[in-house]
Amino acid sequence: MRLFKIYVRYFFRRLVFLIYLLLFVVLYFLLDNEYFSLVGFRIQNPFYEFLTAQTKFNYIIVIIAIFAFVSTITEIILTIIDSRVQNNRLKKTSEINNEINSKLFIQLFDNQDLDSDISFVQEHKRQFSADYPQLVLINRLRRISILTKGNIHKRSIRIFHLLNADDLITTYLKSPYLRHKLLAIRIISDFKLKAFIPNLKKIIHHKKDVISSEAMQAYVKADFKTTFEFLIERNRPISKLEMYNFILIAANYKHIDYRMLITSSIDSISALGLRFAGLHGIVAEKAEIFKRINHPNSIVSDEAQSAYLEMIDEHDAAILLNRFDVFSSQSQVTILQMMAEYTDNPMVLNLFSTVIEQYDYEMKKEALGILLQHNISASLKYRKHANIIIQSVYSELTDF
Amino acid sequence: MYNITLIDIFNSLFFIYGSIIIVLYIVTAIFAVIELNKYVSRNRRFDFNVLLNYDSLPSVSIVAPAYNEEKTIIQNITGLLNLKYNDCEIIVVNDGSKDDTLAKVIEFFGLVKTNVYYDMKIPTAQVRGIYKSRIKAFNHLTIVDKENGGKSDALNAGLNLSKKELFLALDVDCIVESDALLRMVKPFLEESKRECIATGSVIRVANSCEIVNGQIRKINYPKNLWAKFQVLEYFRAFTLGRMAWKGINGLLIISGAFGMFNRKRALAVGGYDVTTVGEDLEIVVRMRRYMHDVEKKKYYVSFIPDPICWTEVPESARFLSRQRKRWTRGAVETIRTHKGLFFRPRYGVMGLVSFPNLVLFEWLAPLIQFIGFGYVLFMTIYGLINIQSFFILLSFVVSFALMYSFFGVFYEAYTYNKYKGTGYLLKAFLIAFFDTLFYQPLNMMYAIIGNYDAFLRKKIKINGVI
Repeated sequence: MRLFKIYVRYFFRRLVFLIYLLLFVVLYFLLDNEYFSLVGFRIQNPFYEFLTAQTKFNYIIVIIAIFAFVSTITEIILTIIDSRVQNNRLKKTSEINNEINSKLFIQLFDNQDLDSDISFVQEHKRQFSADYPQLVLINRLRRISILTKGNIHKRSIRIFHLLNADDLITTYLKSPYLRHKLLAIRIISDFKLKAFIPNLKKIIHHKKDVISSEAMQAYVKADFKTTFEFLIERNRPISKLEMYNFILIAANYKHIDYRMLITSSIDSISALGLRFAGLHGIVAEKAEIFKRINHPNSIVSDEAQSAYLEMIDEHDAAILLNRFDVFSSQSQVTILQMMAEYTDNPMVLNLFSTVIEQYDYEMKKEALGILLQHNISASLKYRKHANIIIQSVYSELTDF
Repeated sequence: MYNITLIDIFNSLFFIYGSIIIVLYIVTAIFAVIELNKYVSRNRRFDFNVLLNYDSLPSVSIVAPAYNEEKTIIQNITGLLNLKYNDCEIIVVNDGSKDDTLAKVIEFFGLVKTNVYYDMKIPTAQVRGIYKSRIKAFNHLTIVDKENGGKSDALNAGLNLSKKELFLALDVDCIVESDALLRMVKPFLEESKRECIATGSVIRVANSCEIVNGQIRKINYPKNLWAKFQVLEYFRAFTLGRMAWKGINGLLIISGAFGMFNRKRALAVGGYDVTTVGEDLEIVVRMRRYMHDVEKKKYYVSFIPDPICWTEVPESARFLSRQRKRWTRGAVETIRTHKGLFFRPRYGVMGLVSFPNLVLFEWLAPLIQFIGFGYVLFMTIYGLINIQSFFILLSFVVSFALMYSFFGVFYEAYTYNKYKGTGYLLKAFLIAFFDTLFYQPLNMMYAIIGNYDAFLRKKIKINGVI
């Protein structure tokens, strides 16, 4: 019934708009008549004489002008009504919000046992029957569960489950409105509702990227055992936003199939796999990672380099020194920082000299800064170096 | 056999041109509604603070040129320091101010001149000094003091000094909401198939608003008549126009007051063009061109409708005319520089739709309108006009313009509803009525003068630079 009402509202608004557009056609045929017949009444058309004296072209122009004028009046009325409705709604909703918030906080902090939670939910449902207050409470619980840990976090989840909002969530998932779908997915996501995992698996393949994206993130949150195989099945690139979210959510996940992600033909998925492998220190994938440090797509090569640098050991020193140019400037900075302790080694010192002499200003500054901290005697020769830029770097580092 | 006269040809041309403009307006409104609804639905419940948890969020350099801003500079910089973001640097470029702008900033923020090397990747006027604060809380603030070179030159100086991935060009007197950076960065992260090269945002009118510590405390509808007209104009241009162009990836302009760019791409095209006064339009066109010609990658220029940047608009006819003439001149210069884009299919939407629209319906429209007025006058004097037909057409144009302007007011109320009360709405509608009859013809005149200036190479003084 709830879904039916949503669909009625959805189509009603569109129907009204279509009928409104038909007004133009109606005007076109109606104003051509001398009289209008309306439930038995005959009304004279005040424009008849004027319009019939016009050419066909002028007639159409007049119709459009009348249509535009009627539209303007409608816009004025709609704006005033809409603005008032919004303001009233704001007042009303803030009242409901305040009431729900204060009751919820009392409940969370003053009462602790399950029975009082049950009676709190029953009382809430008795007081508010509409969907909106349920959503307010769910949203508030959602925020609390995100922002808190420990007992309050657990209690907020318990109260949510006592609300038994599965029907509401299912309806919103099927709603034609984008905002409803997104809200339902976010609720599933934040409360990690495993019962909806099959729904999420389907929605992941939704043609609208925004819905598919939310569903993926919700799925990863709800299923901590995911291997991320859904990304391969979905066969679409992921955005940076999605990637960062996955990294945040799955920071401690243990079941990721790194090889499957790294070897994906989609660069953004490969980059995600590389990031996970680096973060989790998956040395078994080092060879696959190393293959990609020179990848033509910087998204992949950057991640591969970062991951590689996360798992280097003494055997990699020669590679870092000999293939320094292959790395991105960000990775080069990391390499220099890693080598900071070894600046008395001639090979390392040679690398620092090359960077200071030949690389751009920022790299010069990084290298010389490290040298100043770890091998001051080696850095002194740059104080009055022939290259004015190196001199500037030196004075900037020592001056400030 | 038809006997076609010169008047018939003129009539037909005016009719075709007018009809295309009207169709364009209708299409713009439709696209804008689709895009706005999509944006609002997507972001209504999105918690932008979540972005602060990402460790890989792109870093941002804020570059704000300042010229003779001694009265508000401290408040403005304080506002920038309050922006929520993890990794950002603020570079304020004092573009040879003749007042005490620099001295005030040095004193307030405890700045000292440093030996920071100025790498002139883009040539600029001479940099006199680079200042940093010894106070830890302000260590991401840099002040560049340079010889006067104009806004573009100052932005280029900031661009040379910036080190972050993204670059935000900002008028230092703009009031920016605290989560503005988070909102602006999101489009750079959202797409998986195209690269975002720039993002613009709606600019709102700050006149009469209550401002405390560089933040908007209370939003008021402007008291000044000129500002009221511009509120309506900005609804139309930003909320409707630019959202629609964003929808088809055809946006050619990111407002100079507030726009974020991929720094690498902005540097690759050589930064802002100091020879034009329409640098905000020109750089976007050049960056887009670069993506087609050099990078050959899929890209897009984004736009967000959230009211996150507020600016003071001209409150007198004198300043308004100066601003409008400058805009026209900027458009003319950009059109001249990039005339090769006109109807070139290899440039996609830009070559086939946006750029021709800029030429035919933004630059040329005031000129055609002006010729139209002259034509009607000529026809009336010589008794060649059908008065009834003329008034029918006039009523059509006025009613259509009213409908479009009112739609801007309606959609603002429907989406963001920033101005409250029925009183405001009534005033806004009254303004919309006079906008059609008075303000738009006036702007047409400014545009004509701007064209005159542009073609006769009359120099304009901007920030002290000719």
